[in-house]
Amino acid sequence: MSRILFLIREAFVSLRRNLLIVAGAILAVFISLTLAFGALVVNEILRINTLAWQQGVHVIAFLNDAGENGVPSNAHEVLLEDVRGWDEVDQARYVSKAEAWIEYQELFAGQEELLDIDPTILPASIRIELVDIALHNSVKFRLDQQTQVVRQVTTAADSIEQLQNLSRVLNVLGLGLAVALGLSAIVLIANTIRLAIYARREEVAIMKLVGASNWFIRVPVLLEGMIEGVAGATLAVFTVWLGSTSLARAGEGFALFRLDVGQDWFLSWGLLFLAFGAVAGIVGSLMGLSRYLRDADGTGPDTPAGF
Amino acid sequence: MIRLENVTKVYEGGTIAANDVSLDIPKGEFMFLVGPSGSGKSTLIRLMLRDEPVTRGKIWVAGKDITTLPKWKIPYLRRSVGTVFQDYKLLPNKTVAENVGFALEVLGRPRSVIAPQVAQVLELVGLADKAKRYPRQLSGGEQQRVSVARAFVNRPPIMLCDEPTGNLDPKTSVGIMRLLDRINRTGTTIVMATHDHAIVDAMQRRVIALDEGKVMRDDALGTYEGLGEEE
Repeated sequence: MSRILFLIREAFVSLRRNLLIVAGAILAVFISLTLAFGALVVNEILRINTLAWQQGVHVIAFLNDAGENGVPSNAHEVLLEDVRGWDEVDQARYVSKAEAWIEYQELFAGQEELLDIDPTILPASIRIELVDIALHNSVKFRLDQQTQVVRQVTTAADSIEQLQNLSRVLNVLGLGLAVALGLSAIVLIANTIRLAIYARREEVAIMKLVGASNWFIRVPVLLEGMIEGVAGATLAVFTVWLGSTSLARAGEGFALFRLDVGQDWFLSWGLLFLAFGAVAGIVGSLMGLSRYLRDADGTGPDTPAGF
Repeated sequence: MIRLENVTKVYEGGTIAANDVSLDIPKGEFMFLVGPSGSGKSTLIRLMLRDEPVTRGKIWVAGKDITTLPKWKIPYLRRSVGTVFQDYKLLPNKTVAENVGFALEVLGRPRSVIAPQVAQVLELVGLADKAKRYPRQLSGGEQQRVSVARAFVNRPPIMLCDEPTGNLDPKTSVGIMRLLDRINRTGTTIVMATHDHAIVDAMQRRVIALDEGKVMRDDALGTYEGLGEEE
């Protein structure tokens, strides 16, 4: 117990003594992890938006007016029931001519020249959400068969598929970037700790001469690295959270693209990043220290020095 | 207490620092290793401390063959051997008391044991009033006394001293030698590398003279006499 307290005390004394180097290590972790965490947030925003777009309308069937040109007066209702029964369809919603006009007015509000049209030219439609976006061709084909009632079929599937592919690529890039930056954090910590140890190499050699074991020397340095890693990671998580929430607030009125990432997501990934910061600090310290402990064992370069 | 058997140390590049050295150092002995610079005195000290591996031969310290000692056991060897060096090797950011106490901290001694033991040994070396000073606030002689205190604080059976008076003036050197003599009288075996003629001649103890890594002379009550000028 006494030894553990001594080692913890040693770590804190060393942190206090080497403020500049400690600040450098924290900054190294902070920059790397901010970039890594930022990449993850961007990735999450893309994922949320892709998901949101995928949950939108996939297929729209514009209909000929019922009761005219040989279209039975109940043709729309019959087709809607029919479509709702198809396996590929998750949901189907009927939009009447009147609703289409309301929608049109909302869409082009304030643009008088566009609103000056005959509302009866707007067709009724069936808006379809698919079980699986990949089934859009089959649904389009089936609707195209209904030549009497279906005027035109449009689908957003191609765009969504392209978006999905893009999202997949961005996901891989984002994760890859996060991993690369995470690894660079470890290397940066290792170099910073190595610098700190280099400044204290005489001290390490003296400790070894007095009989300190490698672990006795290592533990305070590992604790230092861990504290630096957690401090840097905390700053990184806080900065990205602050940036992300500010961005979300700024983009609240922007309906097409969501910029807010859930707080739960932040909490779980934030904790993971703190743990990563701690691990990066420990691994970096181990890497930085190993060479000097080897030398102090008398197993380093076998060169004569004042024999 | 210490036994060297046909010990040879060849550094990379072919420099022979120890050449077939065989020695027996019994318990409680005070022994000088003398010789000019480059004769191999410091190398022998470092070999006895396993700070360097031997090229050939065997070394026993306190009955253990340290040439085959696994790496993880080296700290245990060093805890049973006190060391004093010419450049003091004190931790610059620790006070006198912390430097001395460090040798006990590595043994895992509780603070309740460390504090009185440190006070006692600082009293012995005459630095009780400077316990809270840092090494930079002390003279060379005082720093060397801290180093001796650290080496002796856990009462090791062996002390290895590499030119402990090398950086000190004659008067201060006498003080350090008196201290080492006093420690030796408690039964501690002391091996001291030096090329200080006056000290060796005054102490009248066993002298091993080295030259180019070879034992040239082993006198029970020797003097520095008979060796060439120091470099």
